[in-house]
Amino acid sequence: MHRCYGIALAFFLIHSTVEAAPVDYVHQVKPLFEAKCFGCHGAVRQQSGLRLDAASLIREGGDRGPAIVPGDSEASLLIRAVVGDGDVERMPPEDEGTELSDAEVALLATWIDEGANAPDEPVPPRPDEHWAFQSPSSSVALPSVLETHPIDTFLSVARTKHDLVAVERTDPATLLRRVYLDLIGVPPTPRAIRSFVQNPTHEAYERVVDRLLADPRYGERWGRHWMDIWRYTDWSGLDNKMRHSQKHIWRWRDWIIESLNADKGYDQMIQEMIAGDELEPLDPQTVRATGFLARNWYLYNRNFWLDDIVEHTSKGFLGITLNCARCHEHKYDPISQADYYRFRAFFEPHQVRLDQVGSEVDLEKDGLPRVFDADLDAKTYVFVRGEESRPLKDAPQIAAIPTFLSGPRPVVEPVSLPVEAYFPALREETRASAKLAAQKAVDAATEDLNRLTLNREENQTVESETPDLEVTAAIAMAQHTLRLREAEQVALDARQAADIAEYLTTKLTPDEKQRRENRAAKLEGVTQKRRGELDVLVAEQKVASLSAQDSEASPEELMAASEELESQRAKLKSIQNQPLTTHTRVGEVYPTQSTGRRLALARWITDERNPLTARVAVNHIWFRHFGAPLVDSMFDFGLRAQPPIHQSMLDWLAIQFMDQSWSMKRLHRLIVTSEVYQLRSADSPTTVANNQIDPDNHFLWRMNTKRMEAEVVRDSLLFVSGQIEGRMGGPDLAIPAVDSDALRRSIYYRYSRDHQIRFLTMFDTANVEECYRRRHSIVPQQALAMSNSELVLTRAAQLAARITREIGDSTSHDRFLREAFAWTLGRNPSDKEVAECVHAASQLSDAYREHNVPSNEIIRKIRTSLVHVLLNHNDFVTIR
Amino acid sequence: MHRRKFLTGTIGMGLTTGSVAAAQTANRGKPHFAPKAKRVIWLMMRGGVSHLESFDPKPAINRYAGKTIHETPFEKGIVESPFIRNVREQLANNVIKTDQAKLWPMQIGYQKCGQSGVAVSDWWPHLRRHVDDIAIVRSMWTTDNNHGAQMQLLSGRHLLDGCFPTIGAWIRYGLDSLNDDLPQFVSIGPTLHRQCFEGVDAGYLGPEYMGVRLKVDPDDPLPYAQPELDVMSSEEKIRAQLLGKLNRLTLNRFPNDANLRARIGTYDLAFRMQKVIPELMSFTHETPTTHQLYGLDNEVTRPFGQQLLATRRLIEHGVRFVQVFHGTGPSGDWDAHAKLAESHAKSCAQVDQPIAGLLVDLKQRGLLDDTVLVWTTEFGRTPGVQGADGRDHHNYGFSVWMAGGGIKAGVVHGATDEIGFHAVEDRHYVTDIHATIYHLLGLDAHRLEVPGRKRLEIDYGHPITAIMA
Repeated sequence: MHRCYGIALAFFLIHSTVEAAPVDYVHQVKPLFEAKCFGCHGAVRQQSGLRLDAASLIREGGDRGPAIVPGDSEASLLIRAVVGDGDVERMPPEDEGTELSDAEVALLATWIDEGANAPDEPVPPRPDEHWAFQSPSSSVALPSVLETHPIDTFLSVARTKHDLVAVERTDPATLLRRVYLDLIGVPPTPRAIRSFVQNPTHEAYERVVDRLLADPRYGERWGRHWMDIWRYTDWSGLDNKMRHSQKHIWRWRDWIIESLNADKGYDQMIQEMIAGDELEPLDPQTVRATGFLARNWYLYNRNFWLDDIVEHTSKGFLGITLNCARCHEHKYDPISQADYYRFRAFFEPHQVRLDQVGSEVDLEKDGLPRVFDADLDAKTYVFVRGEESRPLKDAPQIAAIPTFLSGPRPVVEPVSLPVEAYFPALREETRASAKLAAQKAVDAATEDLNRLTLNREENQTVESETPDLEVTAAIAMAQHTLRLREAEQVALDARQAADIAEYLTTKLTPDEKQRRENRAAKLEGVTQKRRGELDVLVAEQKVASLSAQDSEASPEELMAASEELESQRAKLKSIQNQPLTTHTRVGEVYPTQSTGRRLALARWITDERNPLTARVAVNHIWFRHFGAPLVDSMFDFGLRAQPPIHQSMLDWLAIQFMDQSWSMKRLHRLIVTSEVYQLRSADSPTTVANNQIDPDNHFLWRMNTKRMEAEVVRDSLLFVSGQIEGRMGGPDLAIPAVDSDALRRSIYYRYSRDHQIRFLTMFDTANVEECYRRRHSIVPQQALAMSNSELVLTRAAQLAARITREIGDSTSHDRFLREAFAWTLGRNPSDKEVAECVHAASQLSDAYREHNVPSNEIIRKIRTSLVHVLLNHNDFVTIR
Repeated sequence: MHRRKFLTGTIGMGLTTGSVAAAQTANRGKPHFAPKAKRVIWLMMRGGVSHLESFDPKPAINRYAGKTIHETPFEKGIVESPFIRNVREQLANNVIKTDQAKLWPMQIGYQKCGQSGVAVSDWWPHLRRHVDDIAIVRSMWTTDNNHGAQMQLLSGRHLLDGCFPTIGAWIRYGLDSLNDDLPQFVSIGPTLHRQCFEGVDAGYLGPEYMGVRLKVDPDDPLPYAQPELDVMSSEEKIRAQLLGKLNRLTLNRFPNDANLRARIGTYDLAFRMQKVIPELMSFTHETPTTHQLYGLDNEVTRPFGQQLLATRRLIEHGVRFVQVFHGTGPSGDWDAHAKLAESHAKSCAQVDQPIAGLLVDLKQRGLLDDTVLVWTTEFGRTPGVQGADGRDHHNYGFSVWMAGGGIKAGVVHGATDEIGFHAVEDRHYVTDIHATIYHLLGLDAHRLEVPGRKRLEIDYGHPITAIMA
């Protein structure tokens, strides 16, 4: 609808006589621009080079000149645009928003005519100036004082600025427990504590750190952190029908643990997870990393699956919320809806498959879930408003990264795959196992036949009856089956030979190739015939049994069976009449190329010029060491993320991280050897003022206390009880019905939306859909789980027994308590604590005597109770 | 993002949590003035109940059915109303274009009931018999037009602002326990989806004030409620005492450790409630009449009926604040984007009789005199149709009702415009419900302020005095 300007003005005239107060830019004009215009004419996007998000920019105008002429609304481009006058397209355009009402137009006109007055206002920065979109500059210089650890140098400069004084270092025992739980997820033994406390030098601490980082339990501890971020989940579904993720996805979990222990670069890890199949197509150890993508598989909707990949690849690695642009332009960041679909296009061709592993041919029992490019020409369309029923088919999207990020663009180059990658059945091991399976089938059929024949002979000699018809039929069936299996076995050899001739070797003459093809075709023809014969036999036997004298079959059933027999006979005949000229390949043959899109994306993500990747990773790692991140919105480094207080330190760490080959172990080492990591977590009398200045400890004038994650609680209980089984890796374990039967680390138990160890769920396990940051609740249910669970009750008894074994029965409470405190809280008891425990011990002793507990049992029960109390102590689950 | 920094103003304000607690202890725990009520039951229908088909009849949408707002005489009043900007979207274009959707007639009839003659829809046959006991507010509004509004209803803040203390946590923070054996802030029923500890968040008040979620399963009310191996009760008691002493000795060393304080609290509570909760969740001693009253004899009404009977038992035994959610799934069963008539009829059938039963039961036991009962939902539904037979989220106007201690009975307050679009008369933002409850409980929310944590004026709301007796 085209509205006449004159009417608007007339309205304005009437209007203006009623309201004499001048138009208020801040409260009336700016909100209107914000609602109607900022989306295309603001900091994020500047259509026609025009910005309307500050009065100074409005006066400046865009490509078509100033938007307004103060004092003269009629001459102002802006007014012509909002009414759609003459050569100016109406704003907002039809499909972008509703037109301005007469009153709103009048308001703008009045504001302009009154002189377009506006107070001073800050101009919102352009998105490409946003801190997180700039490369962490290597010009970030360390503050000049260099005698301290670099992290402390950054922090002490910042603290000094705010008159904050750091607390002193924590005591050696607390530090040791902190670094053990942090790096390997179980507490130190009393012996380790004693040894460190006797010699708590910096060198000794560094040796501890190096030892822990070399400990394979490091991979299990930090593997769980990354599994939160990368959304690890075992398969789930109804009965045996898979709906989410993949069976055997634990192979990806093992890859995570092993890669961390091997200190594989974070850049390489990302590349392997997104494109391991394109990087090392023949190496299943690398290809299993693509479980990261396979985990998103979803039975019912491919779009959900791809949406999840887009959302979490961008949130997890890049800290950008591409998902907000699925249905419309991103509200806050310069990400268009097309950007979303261009990013999706990197993943569009891929699919999930299970490859055979080792000699196991049954993929339900074992297999390697992995991705591969299945449809090299798969098209990606923008979905209008995100609705899959409304694809914009005339404009397929090409894989690309959001344009706002400067620097290199991904270069997509197709990857030619080796034959064993696209034709996995040709791998030597797979071929051998197929042969073995064929032999087993022949053996089984032979055994069947022998058993039936023997049975018949025995029955005949004993009862000397005429042969039972059923027995005869079964033997005939077994004979036919054996013939089929034998034929299949011979044919398999021939088919494999022909496959090899076609795909693998280059040495054969064309004649030889043809000969193999002919032989394979012929023998496959024989198997078809044998199968046809078997089918005919089955049909014949059905007819025979239905027409037997004692049969109760209806005429219809008999008729159907006869028809089936006729059709099987006809089928057999046609097989015999049409010999095969080519054979069927032994396994699936996939595309011989991969598009290389995912590899290009992965290389772009891990390019050192990418401003986000290293920062996001450093932030994740920092958060897990300190309990508070440097950038609060851990998956969103977009425009809404304010520059962090410690930006220069974050940038410096990000650069270090990249310079040190993206080595996580070096980054951990750098962090945990800093002074700040070794500070007390409590305030002290000398730092009272800090609480006034920085109560939330933004400036890390002390360490933060943390609560153990669920897995660490359970693993530590198992560890101190001496029952933990150290075996690493392997298939996901079923959730045990009885807690005490489960002795492996928590990471190895089934973990999906439907299956989690109940004890763990009390302590805030990761949401399998999204968990960039665990939460740490404190609820009575945790107290009940710690007090009442069989898990803790059993482990308490075991730890008490363990200590008793070490110190002997007759020793005093004192000695026992020192050991028990060391195991559970990592420290010595105070005199007061000893006194309380001894007092409770005597109460317990009375209580047991009253209940007629045998006297030789009493000391054991007392000690179990004391340990149980200490495992329930706040400081068992707390990392100080 | 330094949300906290934003809240605390500049760094340099504020005390430690420990000294805050010390400074506050003097003012906290007791009502600031004489209360009219002691307890609160907060019912929440998740998904967004259509006000147009429950408590706010609008004949005009029948009259103008099939027309867009622009084709009605109400165009200007609605589209050009300043209220139209009272929306903050989590997702852009999250809802249908309300001004372009065709008005859709009411899907159910209304009937005037009781002495007051207040009209309630035919989907609430049980509840409306008690319309003389409740006060309906027809003029609520909120700003989130997606289900983050559930959290907004509880905390007063838009989800994009982050997680803030919920009303239950504030009341737990402001008032002493009515019974030390029971949690004071309990949450029952399907939780909020992925939002701020499922709607029991205490935010910066600290984990001590978080709500406790209970399962209403008489057979398994609390995981690990009983020791899984043989433990003598005397032994259990000595252990608990020793644990308390040891933890308190540690607290002497770390007096500012709020988490330690919270954990001590959870142990004390857990030890006591493991005995009481299973008893409270068992209905064997309730009479058959009571079972029928809550609809436990009918499988449609039983699940919610059990929740409400459990609620009454909890309230009766000294739980201060019980919030009960109805409606499963990420958004909740009331989210009627399609097949509204079918799904609302079904949901109403599940809750109508139990809610009426609760009202009757509270009244006959004298509990209604000092219990505030609140019925809420996160927003209403659009007067325009969505698709063929649904209504979309509608944050501009919706209804809630309250009853009980200090609330006027049988009144209707506030109004939406002719087609139920904007709340226009006596408008109330969601925190006005909070303010009303604070007032009835004798609390001055301003005096609960935590130093260093600036609350906005809108966080406090204003008591809805018109419905207060």
